Amino acid sequence: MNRRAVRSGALPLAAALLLGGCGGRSGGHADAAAGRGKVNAPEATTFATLPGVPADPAPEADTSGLVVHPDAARPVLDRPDGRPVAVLPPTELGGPTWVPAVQADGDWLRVLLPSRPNGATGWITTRGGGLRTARTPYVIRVDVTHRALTLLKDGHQVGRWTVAVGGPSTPTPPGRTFVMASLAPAKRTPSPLVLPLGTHSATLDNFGGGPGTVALHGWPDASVFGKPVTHGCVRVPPDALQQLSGVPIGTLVHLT
Amino acid sequence: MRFGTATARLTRAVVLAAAGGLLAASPAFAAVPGDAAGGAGRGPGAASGGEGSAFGLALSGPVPLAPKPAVASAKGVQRASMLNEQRAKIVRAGALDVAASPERSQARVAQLRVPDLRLAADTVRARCTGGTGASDLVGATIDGKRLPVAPAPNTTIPVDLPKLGRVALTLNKQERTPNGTRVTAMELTAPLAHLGPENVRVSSVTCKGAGQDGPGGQGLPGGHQGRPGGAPGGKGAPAMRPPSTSGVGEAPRPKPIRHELAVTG
Repeated sequence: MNRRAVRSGALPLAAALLLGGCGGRSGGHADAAAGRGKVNAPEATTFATLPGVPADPAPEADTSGLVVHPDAARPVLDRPDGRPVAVLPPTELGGPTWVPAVQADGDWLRVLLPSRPNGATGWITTRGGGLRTARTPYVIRVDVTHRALTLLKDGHQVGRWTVAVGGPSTPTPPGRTFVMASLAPAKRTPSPLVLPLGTHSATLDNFGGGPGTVALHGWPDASVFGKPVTHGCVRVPPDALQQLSGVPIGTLVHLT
Repeated sequence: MRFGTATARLTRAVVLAAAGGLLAASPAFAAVPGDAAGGAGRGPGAASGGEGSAFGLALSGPVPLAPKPAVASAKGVQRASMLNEQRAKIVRAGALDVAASPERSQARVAQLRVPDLRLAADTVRARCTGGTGASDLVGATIDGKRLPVAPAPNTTIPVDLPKLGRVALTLNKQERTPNGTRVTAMELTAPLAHLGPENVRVSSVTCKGAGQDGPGGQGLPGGHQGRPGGAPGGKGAPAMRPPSTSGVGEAPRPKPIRHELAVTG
């Protein structure tokens, strides 16, 4: 893969959003898919890069809202009955894994994955149980051009806020992704809540010790809202953060 | 066959399978004409891009087995054959032959035995031509009962086995897929004690319907070819069927986790 020039550790540490140190895990190989046999494939986490995974076939489309949670590590295939390309762990960043299902084919669901490359997807089977399903009524839309975040519930707008987005050299990556986790950092400043998404900066391979994960989070200085000043994250006002705190993990996020 | 020990035997088989590294097992290839790299690792059972596909045997559940042999073809005929496939004493087959082309696919498994389920068959075959499929079973029995030679589509046969429980057996399973039709001659799901259900599929094929241009083309009657939310579907893009949320409850409100991750602030 041709990777763009990467800026990483050279960035001033002060510029890094110190929402905590690195999560402490690098994208490792998982060779145990509990209850479903051994699969020698990398874990689909925010730290991993997954070679050979299929790209999101419809990165601008909405879904039915179905989200799925594996009770145990579950093989992810490149197509129904295809070859394993990853393992979906039951937890991400210490909380339960919930990923959106974007396509169905018989007993198979295509899900979005939180790993690089952006838009990574894979297929998991619904056979054999061990997969919890639920529906999220929410969709989050971030209009990067107009620096606005809209929260929809059952198709109706329930909130719209002016937000800060990625700067010209570190833009917020476009595409369809999802809320991967809900984190409460030990330090409540700059944000008491961080919602990492399943996508990454396209210009930063790593940032501040993390893997370049893009997130929704708060910011104490209101002057940033409406400006392209971040390293890829979306900074939102306090009332937006309050409403976003109730959005289920796995909820679709459109970055356009 | 002693049914009193069926569950214990299956459980033991799972343990043996795990210890032996099932997925690393390498069956003996008798001949793989036309398969080559195209068969290895290709996804059968759900072709994409206007492909047909076929496989002989697949397991999922506590004892998994990737479809074998497996072929898929978007042009021309791909074939593969194997001899003496066996997995953890759960299932064995004497010969497996598969062939796939976009509009015609066939899978045949001979001398099938699933000892603990008292399932046996001389031949189990699935075939699919132009989106229309059929299955043939020769000399097939389960728990001493003879199975139909030419079962109607989606024939389900519940079987209660002592000590093991209810086994769900489906013959000539036929499914519409975004790309055509899938026919599985035999599919059964059996509980493996506390380990969960084991799913066994024997002889499964896919092919596209006559006049169907593959993904994004016109759907088969009764098929699911819709695109959700105005999804873009250019030529070559897979047909989209949105996952159903019927009967599904609302996703839980998240509980923030005390965890640190440096993000691109």
